[in-house]
Amino acid sequence: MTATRLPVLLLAGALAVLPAAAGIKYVNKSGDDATADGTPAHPFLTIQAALDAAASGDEIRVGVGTYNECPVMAINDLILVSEESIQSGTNASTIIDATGACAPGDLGGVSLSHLSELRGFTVRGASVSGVYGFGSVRITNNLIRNNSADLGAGVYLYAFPDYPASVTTYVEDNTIDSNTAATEGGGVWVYTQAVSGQSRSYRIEGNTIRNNSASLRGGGILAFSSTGIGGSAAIRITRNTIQGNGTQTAGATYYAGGGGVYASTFGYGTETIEIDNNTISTNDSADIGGGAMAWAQALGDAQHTLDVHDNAFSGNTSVYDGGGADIRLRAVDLSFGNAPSMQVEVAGNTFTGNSTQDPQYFGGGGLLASVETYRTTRTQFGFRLRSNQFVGNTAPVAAGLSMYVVADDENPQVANEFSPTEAAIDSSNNLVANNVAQDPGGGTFGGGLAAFLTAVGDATAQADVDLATVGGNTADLTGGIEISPFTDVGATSGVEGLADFTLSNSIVSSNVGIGVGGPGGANLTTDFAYNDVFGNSGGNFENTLTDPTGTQGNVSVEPDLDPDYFPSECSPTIDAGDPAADYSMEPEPNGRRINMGDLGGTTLAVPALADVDGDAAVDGVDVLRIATSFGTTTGQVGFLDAADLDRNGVVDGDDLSYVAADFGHRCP
Amino acid sequence: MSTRNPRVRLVLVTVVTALYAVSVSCGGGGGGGGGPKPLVPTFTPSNASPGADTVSMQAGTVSGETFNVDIRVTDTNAFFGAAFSVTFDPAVLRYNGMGDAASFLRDNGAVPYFQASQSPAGTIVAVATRKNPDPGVDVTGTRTLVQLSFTALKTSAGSPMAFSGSLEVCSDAIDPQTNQCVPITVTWSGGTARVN
Repeated sequence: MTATRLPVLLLAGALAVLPAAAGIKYVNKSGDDATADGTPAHPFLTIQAALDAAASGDEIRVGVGTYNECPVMAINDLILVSEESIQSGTNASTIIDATGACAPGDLGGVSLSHLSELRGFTVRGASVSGVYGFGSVRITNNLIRNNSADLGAGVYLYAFPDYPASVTTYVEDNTIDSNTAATEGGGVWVYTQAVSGQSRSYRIEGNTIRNNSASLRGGGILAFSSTGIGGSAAIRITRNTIQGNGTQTAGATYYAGGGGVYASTFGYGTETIEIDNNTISTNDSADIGGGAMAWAQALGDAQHTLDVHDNAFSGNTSVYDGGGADIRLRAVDLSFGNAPSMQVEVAGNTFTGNSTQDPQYFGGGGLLASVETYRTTRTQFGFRLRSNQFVGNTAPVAAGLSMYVVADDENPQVANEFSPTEAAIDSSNNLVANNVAQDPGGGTFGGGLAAFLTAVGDATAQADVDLATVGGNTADLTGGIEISPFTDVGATSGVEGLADFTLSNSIVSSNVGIGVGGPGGANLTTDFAYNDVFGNSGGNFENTLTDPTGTQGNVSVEPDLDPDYFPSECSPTIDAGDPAADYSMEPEPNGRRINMGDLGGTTLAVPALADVDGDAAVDGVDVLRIATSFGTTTGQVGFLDAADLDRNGVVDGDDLSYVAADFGHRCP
Repeated sequence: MSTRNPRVRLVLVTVVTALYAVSVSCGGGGGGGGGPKPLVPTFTPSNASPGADTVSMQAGTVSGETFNVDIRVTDTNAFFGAAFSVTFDPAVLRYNGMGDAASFLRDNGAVPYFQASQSPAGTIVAVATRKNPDPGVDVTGTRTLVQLSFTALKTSAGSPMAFSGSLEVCSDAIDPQTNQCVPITVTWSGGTARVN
């Protein structure tokens, strides 16, 4: 076994009874460790000597210069800061160069103890992690570059499952650049473990994490959460620029990939991973998840949340699935717990110009969203795709969005114990546009999106696409939406699984290829309601499906969208969605009915034309209708319902203002 | 010197104009006649003496190349508001806006509502109306509802200006069946702009 200095660190921390008064100790290149007392007049020459002389609560200030050492904190609660950082906020001239300096057992170019901080250094050349942090640490405004390790080449963060009881760690505003991990976590590696009563919180925020690599997973960041019953862990990755990172192993399993980020929950406790407001670009995975691979897997009574929102994924690539991102939920026998819950939400992200390559898999040039459940009912989980934009991505299949849904009630454990098994993805308000399914072998499908629905035994695999705009996508077969079912009879139950696809309140138009289609067959049910499917070059519906146009509110009319797929105020898709759907968020006048398309039901919905008299023009007559009933309320003589554009029960200045705003507008 | 104060700018323009006038009257500038000839617009109503219950265009003030067309109402009871459109040739005239300061709808301190918009070019969509619960106005004789301002762009021997589109005049009575105003049947009368 390789000895480390970690046990010493913990022991020292545990035995500290009365910490010395906080002080400042100085280090600079003119110092002398033999005579130093840490004052400005007698500084230390090496950082290690200052750390060794420090007491808990001390601050060690380091002057500019290159320090060829691997400093290790042997006691808790220290601040290691460069003077240039204090003076000017920089980090370039105070360099911890670990090249050839680390002793066997050293874990980092700099090893931070619990409750300590590192600020304002360049850390480079370590053949172990650039910065190793144990417990609660704060790593701020450093340049961490050209380090190499098996795990966490740039930064490695860890705590034991039961010590310290509480961890709150920040990695903020650093540049983590060109580090190389032999296995995982090229830039940052976080592994949270917590048992009952323990909590872990890691925030990776505002960093630039670029050009790092890991062989297996997490080229830029690997964040792995694992808890026991009663444990709690939260990882938040926010406001980072994650660019040009990569993984190299093509393992083709769940356990490889994530060129920019790999994040996973896995345990029995309460776990949250949040990836938000990052710019994730030009990362590459030799497996899945070019920009990010994130998945949630709960066990027993776990409560897991995976929230991926408001990120910009662009120009990322993968070999197998999920060029921009690969987000998965996997639930196995969740009903064994008392009240398990897994919630995954992917919302407000943009996926542009990402790609994935291999036609043998499930594609998802922008995103592959996957739910796999085994003997788990829908009450135990939720997977929502909301208000994302998938634009200009490429893949052999499912170029914009791939929805891969598997419900299996048979394999491999006891059948029917918690039937029916359900797996579902709920999608709403997504824009899927200008994606291209391309492959030299031809036969591409799902130019916009594809739903792969697999159900075995007493199980239902479901995809619900609501309020989508799917336009301008290209494929050889289905340019817009592909519905690809696979159902099988359970060997034990004798029941065939059910694939179920719903499309509602959506616009599918101007795709090159068939608008909506699929191979048919299998035990598939479809429900189409209040959609506008129009102008797709290969026909609006493939003949494997029953064309629903003219029934259940389905129409086929020019939706009148601009090049950015924003409907004009004259679009027939306005106020044409399901009358029972919630329109309350749409700006007034909202016509008391939801719009079709990705903006329907949102604050960005295009308002209905303020046309009181219904002649498709807003003119003086509309004003007269309001003026003559001005000030009246519902039920009063003179109250004109149509003049109450905002439906608040009174004809007033607001109504007049809506007409004023549209005055002179006319629809053809 | 700053000219951001419009009053200062007005003074400057006045001074420059005065100096120009003086120089012309004194024979200065030598040669003369090199600039474009100013356009002179005139408006001729189709009916200069409209009868009762008529909404008509009448000639308003003229200032250089800019002139007003007054929209006037003759002998109408309980006039509450009007919606109308006016068409003209945008190659001949430029629409500047609608004035409402002299509108009879303002009688007795009422605060009416006016709006006009040119859409598309050559069509002015307009409304001038009181708001419930203000009563309508009994118009005696011919009174001004609003004024449309135009600038001549090129010469024309006769460019028609007409009411068009959705034309409606409301009285202050409400039809209880429809909760809409009881309309007043009026005659709409336009005119012709000539630009020399």
